[in-house]
Amino acid sequence: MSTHCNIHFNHGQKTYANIYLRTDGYPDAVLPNFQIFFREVATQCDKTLYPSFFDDAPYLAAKFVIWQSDYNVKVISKFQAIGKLAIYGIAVVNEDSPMSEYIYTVDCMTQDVNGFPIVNCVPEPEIDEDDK
Amino acid sequence: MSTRCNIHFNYSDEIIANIYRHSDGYPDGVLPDLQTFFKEVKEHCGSDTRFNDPSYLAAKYVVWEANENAILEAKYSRSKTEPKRLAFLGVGVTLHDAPDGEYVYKVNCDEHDANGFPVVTYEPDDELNRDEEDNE
Repeated sequence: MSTHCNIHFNHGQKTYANIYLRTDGYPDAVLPNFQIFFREVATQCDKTLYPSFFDDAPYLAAKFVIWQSDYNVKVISKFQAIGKLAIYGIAVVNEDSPMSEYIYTVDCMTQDVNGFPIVNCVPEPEIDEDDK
Repeated sequence: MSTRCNIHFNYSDEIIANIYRHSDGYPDGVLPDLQTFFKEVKEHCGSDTRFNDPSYLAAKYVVWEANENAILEAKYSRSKTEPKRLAFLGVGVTLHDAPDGEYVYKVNCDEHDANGFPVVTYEPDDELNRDEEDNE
């Protein structure tokens, strides 16, 4: 639950934005969530109006804050009344947290077959021998 | 309209988080907006505002800007569908000030006013001024 991580939104090696997640920062949660987030961005953004919505790191990082906050509020509001700005699970930072167990890089310069930015994790997630 | 600015969320003069705002970045636009934002944080978070935590406050500000945009879109758009929150391009998260920013604001999370809100100061972006001086 309380696995902290930082997410760097990069162009190649250069980091343009840094986001801290306080919980569920392990690869099994973050990596699939990013694919859901990218799909949402692709669905909501009109490519004819905004052709570069995946290659702009600062704007993509802001979209991620909005998406993750909306998700957190939606989950918590199932159990208790919560204000839209009662956001404690995600933060904007200039430096990595010393408590972070993982660092992710969202490379806005390289895209996968779906046209989504490539996400990498440091340290590399360990693959269970049984899963191979 | 398109006056860009950066908003630093500081603690003890250290920049902890930096947000780029793409429009209405002049003081008459940003200063009242920040007061409205602080009031809404207080309404939404009760006693747990964490006005002294610049990182969380910056994240809240990004979401608040998106909320404001959604309200405006719902008011003026002809579309009856839900506003597309992820199509929002009003703010960016950044590590460095934008070269075209005209103002830099400091939200000082270790200093609070009579309402308990962070004290906000601002100055014209020095880099832009330097460029203007160079051109003279």
